[in-house]
Amino acid sequence: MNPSGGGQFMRLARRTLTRTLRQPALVVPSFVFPLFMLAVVSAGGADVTSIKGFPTDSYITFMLGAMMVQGASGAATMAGTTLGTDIGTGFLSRLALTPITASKLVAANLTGVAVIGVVQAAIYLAVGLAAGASVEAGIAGAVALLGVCLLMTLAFGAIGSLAAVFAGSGEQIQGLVAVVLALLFMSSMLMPRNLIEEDWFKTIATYNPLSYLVEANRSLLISGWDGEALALGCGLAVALTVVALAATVARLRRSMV
Amino acid sequence: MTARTLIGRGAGADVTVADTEVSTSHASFEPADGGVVVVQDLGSTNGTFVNGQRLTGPQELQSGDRVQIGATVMEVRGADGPPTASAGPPAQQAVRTRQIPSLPVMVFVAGQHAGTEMPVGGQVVVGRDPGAADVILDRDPDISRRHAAFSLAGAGLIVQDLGSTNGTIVNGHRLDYAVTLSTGDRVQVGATVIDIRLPGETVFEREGPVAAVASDATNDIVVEGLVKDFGQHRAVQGIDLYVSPGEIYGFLGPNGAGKSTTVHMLTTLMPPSHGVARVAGYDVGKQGPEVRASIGVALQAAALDANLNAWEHMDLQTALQGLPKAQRKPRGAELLERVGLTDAADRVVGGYSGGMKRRLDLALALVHWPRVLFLDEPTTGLDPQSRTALWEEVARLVKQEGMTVFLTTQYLEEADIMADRVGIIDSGEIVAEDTPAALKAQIGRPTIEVLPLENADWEAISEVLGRFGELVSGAHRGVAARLHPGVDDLAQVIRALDSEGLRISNVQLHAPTLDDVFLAKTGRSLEGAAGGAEAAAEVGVPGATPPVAGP
Repeated sequence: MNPSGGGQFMRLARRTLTRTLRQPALVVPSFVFPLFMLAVVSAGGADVTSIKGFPTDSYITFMLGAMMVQGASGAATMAGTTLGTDIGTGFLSRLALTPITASKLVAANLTGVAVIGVVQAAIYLAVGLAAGASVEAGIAGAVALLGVCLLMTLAFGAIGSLAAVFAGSGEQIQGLVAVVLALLFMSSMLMPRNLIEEDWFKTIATYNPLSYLVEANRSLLISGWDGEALALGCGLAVALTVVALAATVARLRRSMV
Repeated sequence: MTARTLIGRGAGADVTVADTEVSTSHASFEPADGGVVVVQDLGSTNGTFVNGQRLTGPQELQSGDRVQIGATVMEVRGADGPPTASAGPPAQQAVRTRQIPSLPVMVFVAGQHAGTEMPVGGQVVVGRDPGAADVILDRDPDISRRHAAFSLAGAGLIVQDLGSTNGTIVNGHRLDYAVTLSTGDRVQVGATVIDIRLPGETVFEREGPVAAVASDATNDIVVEGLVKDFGQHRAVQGIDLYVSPGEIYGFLGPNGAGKSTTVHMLTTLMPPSHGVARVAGYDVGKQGPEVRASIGVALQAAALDANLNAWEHMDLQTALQGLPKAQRKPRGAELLERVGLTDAADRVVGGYSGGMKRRLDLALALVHWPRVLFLDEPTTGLDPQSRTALWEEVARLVKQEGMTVFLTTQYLEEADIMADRVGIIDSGEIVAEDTPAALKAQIGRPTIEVLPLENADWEAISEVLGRFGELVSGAHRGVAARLHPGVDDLAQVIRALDSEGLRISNVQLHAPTLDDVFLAKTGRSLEGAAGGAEAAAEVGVPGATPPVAGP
C-alpha cells in the first residue's frame, strides 16, 4: 500500500480550506477590511490625484493595488492560525505520525490558503472595476494581477507559517495582523514614493518590502506592463516564500526523528 | 443432493461463502418429494434470489433455475433432465455453485486448506479463532487469532496484516500493514500459502518452494538506557523496559514523572538524547518511518481539528496513512461504529464531549491496523462511563487483534485493571515493574483506617492502632496503620478500640494498592490517587456517620 502523494496533498489543502471557511472570525475581517478601507480612503483621497506627478487621476485605481496586498496579507493569519493551532492542539503530532512530510504538510496548508487568496483578489478586482477602477494592462493584465496576488498570498502564508512554528499556538498569530497593517501604512500604499515629502517616511517606504508588492500590483493597474515593478514585486514574493518555507520546514523537521 | 445443505458465511455452514453480503446462515437447500430441491431463505440480511426474484418463502427449484446469494450464483441441474414424476427413484437435482467471474480468487496452494479456491466477495479474515476468522487455520501455531484480512477493493484485492505475531508475507516480504495484490502474488501466513488470481489477468505460474522468510519485525517494545535531557534537566534517566507482543503495559507515575516524554521518544515525536529503543522491531532513532507505520498513537490531549467532523477526520487520516481509496470509507465507518460515533459523525468535533473526542482519537489511531498502540493518559478528564468504555475497547483490541499496548496513566485503578504489567516511573526512573498483583504482594499488608467520632480521641486511637501496625497517612483523614504481618482479624482491632472506650464513626480496611507500592518505593503518595483507587473493604459501624470523603 503506497501512499498516494497527490491525494494526500489535496486532502490536506482541502482540510485547510474547510477549516478556514468554517471560522468566519478568521475570514470575514481579512476579507471585509480591505473593501472598507478601499471605500473610505478612496472617498477621502480623491483630491490627491491632482498633485503634480501623481500617476493616475483615479484614486480608487491607485488604492486597489494596495488593498489587494492587504487582502493577501490575510493569508499570514489564516496559514499561521491553522499551523499554530495544529501545534497547540497536538494535531500536528497526529499528522507527523503519518507518512506525510513536513514540506508537503506546509505546502498543502499554503495551497488551501492560496485558493482563498485568489478568490478574494478576484472579488476585490471585480468590486474595484465596478466602482470605477481600471486595469491599464487590459484583460491579460487583470489575469496577471491575480497571479501576482497568488504569489503574495503564498509569501504572506509562508511568513505566517514561520511565525506559527515559533509561536506554537494559533492565538499568538493574531498579532501579525497589526504588524502587517503597520508595515502597509509605512509603505507606498497611500502615496507614490517619489511624492512622499518626509525623508524619514520616504526612507522607510523605500526599505519596506510591502512597497514593492503594492507597486507591482499598481503597475498593472496604472502603467500597463512594467517589467521592473513586476520583477521586483514577484521576485520579492517568491524569495520571501522560499526563505520562510525553508525555515518553517527545517523547524518542523527538528521535532521529528 | 441428498441432505439439507446450509449455505452461509459462518463456520457452521455446510458451504461457507466468504462474502460480506452473505449472512452467517443465509439459505438452505433441501431435497423434497419428487426429487426436487427446495430453497429457503433463513432470514438473511440481503436476501436470496431465484431467477432475479427475492424469495419470500420456500420455493421448489427447476432445472436451469439460478439462485443468487451475495455474489454467489448457483445453477440448478436435474440429474437426467428436468425432474419428472415418473415411477421409480426420483432423479436427484444437483446444485452447482459458481462465482460471478469478476471476483478475485484466493488459491490455497499449501497448508491447511491446500487445493481449495475461495472467491473474495467482501472481506475474508484469516486466523485461528473460529469466532473471528472466516478462514480458520487452527492447526498452525504460527497463526494469530485474526491474522490477516483480504478485502475486495474495486476489482482488486488488498491484503492487510491484522497485527499478527508472525506477520503476513507477500512475495517474500513482510507486510508493514497492507498492500494491493496482483495476479500471481503469493501470500504466506504461517505455513499456509495462498496464490492470488484476479479476474481478467493471466495467471503467472510460480516455480519452486515457498521461500522461508526471516524478519525482525515483531510487536514488542525494547528499551535500553533511554535518556532525555532538556538542557540541564534530565527528564528520563536511562530507563530499560521490555513489552511483550500482545501485552498491555501500564506506565504509571505522577505528573512530570517522564511518562509522556518516554511516549514521545518511543513514537518518534522526540529524539532520545541517549539510549536505544526498538518498537515493532524498528529503531526509533534510525527508522522513524518504519516505526510510525507500525504504531498507533493517541496522545494526552485528543489531537483533533475542532472545525472538522468525524467523517472528515477519518477521510484525512485514512488518506494520509495511504489506505487505498476504496477502503477508506469502509474503514472509517467501521471504526466510527466501533467507538460508537456513527450518529455523531456529521457534527464538527468542537461540539463533542471529552469522552467522544477520546474515542475518535482512538479510532483515528487505528485506521492503518497498527501492531503497537500507544495511549498517553487516554482517560484523563473522562467520566467513569467513558473511561470504562475506552478500557473495554482497548481490551478488545488486545484480545481480538493481538495488539501490543503501551498505556501511560496516573490513575491507579486504570493501571490495576488494564495492565498485564506495570512500570512505576518517578522522576524519570522506573522504580518498580511487575504485574499489579506481584507489586501489591511486595507490600503485602493491608491498612486499617479509623475515623474518630470525637477529635479528642485521635491520639488514643493512634496509640491503639500503633499496637497492630505501623502508622501511615490515611486516605480519608482518619487514623491509619499498615497492619503487622499476622494481624488479619479486623475484630481484634475493633475490640481493642472498644475496650478503651473509644468511639468511632467509621472503620475501613484497605487492601494493598499500587499507591502503597508507590509510597513504599518513593516515600510519597501518587498524585491523583484519590477517586476510588482502593479496593477497600468497608465495615460500617452501627450508629456511625458515613465515611468522610477523601481529599
